[in-house]
Amino acid sequence: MIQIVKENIGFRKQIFKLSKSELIKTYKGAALGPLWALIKPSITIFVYWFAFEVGLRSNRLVHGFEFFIFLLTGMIPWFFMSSAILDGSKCIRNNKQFVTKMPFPVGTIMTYTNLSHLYVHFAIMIIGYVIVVLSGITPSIYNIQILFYMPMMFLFFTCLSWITAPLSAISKDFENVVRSVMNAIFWLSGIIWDPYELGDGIVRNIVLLNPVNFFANGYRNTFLYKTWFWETPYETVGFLILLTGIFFLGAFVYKKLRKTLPDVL
Amino acid sequence: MADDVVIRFNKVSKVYRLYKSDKQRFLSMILRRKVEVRKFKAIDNISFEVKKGESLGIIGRNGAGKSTLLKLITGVTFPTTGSVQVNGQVSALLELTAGFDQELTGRENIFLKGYIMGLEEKQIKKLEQDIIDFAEVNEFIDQPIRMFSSGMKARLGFAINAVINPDILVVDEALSVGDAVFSAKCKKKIRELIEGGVTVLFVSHSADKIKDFCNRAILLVKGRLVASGGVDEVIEKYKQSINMSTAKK
Repeated sequence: MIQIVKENIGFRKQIFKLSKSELIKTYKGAALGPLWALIKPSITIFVYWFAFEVGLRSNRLVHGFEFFIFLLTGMIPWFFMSSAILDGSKCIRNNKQFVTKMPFPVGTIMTYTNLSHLYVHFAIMIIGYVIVVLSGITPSIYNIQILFYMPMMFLFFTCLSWITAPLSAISKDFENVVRSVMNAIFWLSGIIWDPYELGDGIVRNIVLLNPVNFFANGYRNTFLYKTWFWETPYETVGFLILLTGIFFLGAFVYKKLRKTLPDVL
Repeated sequence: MADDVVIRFNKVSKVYRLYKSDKQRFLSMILRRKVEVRKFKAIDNISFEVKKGESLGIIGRNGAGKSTLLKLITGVTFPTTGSVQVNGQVSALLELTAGFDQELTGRENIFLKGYIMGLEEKQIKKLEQDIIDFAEVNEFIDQPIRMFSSGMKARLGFAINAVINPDILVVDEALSVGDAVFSAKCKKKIRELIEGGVTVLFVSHSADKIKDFCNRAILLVKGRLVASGGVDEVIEKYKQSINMSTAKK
């Protein structure tokens, strides 16, 4: 069986405990503690809302919804994705001692790091959902799709970090590459603009295959658009193919680099 | 592997690749062309076996390859050629405080370290009080361990490793933990473990400490295994080799 999958299955109970202590570690020592997990994203959302709605006065409906609600439903998954990409690529280096000082299933570091972000994401998602409902959008059966999109998002970005984490551990340059492209990923993806409104068919079709868009649109399908994921087959099938590719590539990269990690860290 | 052999090294070599700079290492990764690299053989074609319940001393001067050998046994690093087989759970008293988080309390760290070592909550709960008692950190246990003195941290680390009853215990010379009283307690604990049938590997450059614990020893010189056998005989050879190299200078 695939080595990294085996490591994760064998360590599943410890993964949950470790993700919990990872979460505690992040917020311990600050007086406001876990509240920071909410304060930071709230400020970010406010800034974008202020710049676009108040500053640029783009006071219009996006996809038939108020800009703030459209922005909110895209930012919720984005906060998870950005921390999963950034911390996902840094996590082996951050947990260096597990690689160089003791025997440890290194392939589980990515899982519990991302899992600790998922808890925060879940809390933000609940709060966001309440705001969406309070703004006048009624809850619907489509909301249960979150049970598809959220696990898929976790899975995809964990598999992605199977590639980025070992590479970043071996080369600081790669870590810097990831950090540098974060802004590009954000602005090139439809978090604050609507990819469905792109005029050019070819550009739109390429943009829709971006996994970040898949999740931003997926969360909007879930909370706003009332669309099932099988009603957007082009994007869903495209995503599943990409996920499969990343999964096997990630398993390959990890297997290839696992034994060099303790010697270079 | 025969039942009573718990560790088997078969023609094991470990080569570290030393690049001139990180840039060179990066280039060698992406270009696949030959980049100037110096190879350092930390372990050179070593074969030996350790039987269950044995206590083996590994002796050698600084840089002889002792640490690399231990890392191979604990499964932290991997051989370049040859094979390493280990049967049973290894507990290593190498980096006693590795895996601790400074912000978490002593108690939380016991659990954290336990999970890292692959234990489950139930198992750790059973050992928790033993660990606290052994480490003698009672009144501090619910404080963040950044408040601990370095001795207290090391004691807690030692306690966790010693109390989990491993099959194989690897002891480094870093055993000079805490004061004389605690150090005597550690020695006593290790003796108990040896008597209880645990396989112990003891690493040192000090002949006396090896004599204290071990009945068999191997001598490493520059990554090669040059002597193996009874502890007195090997220590004799070790002393000779030291005398020879000091005489040269």
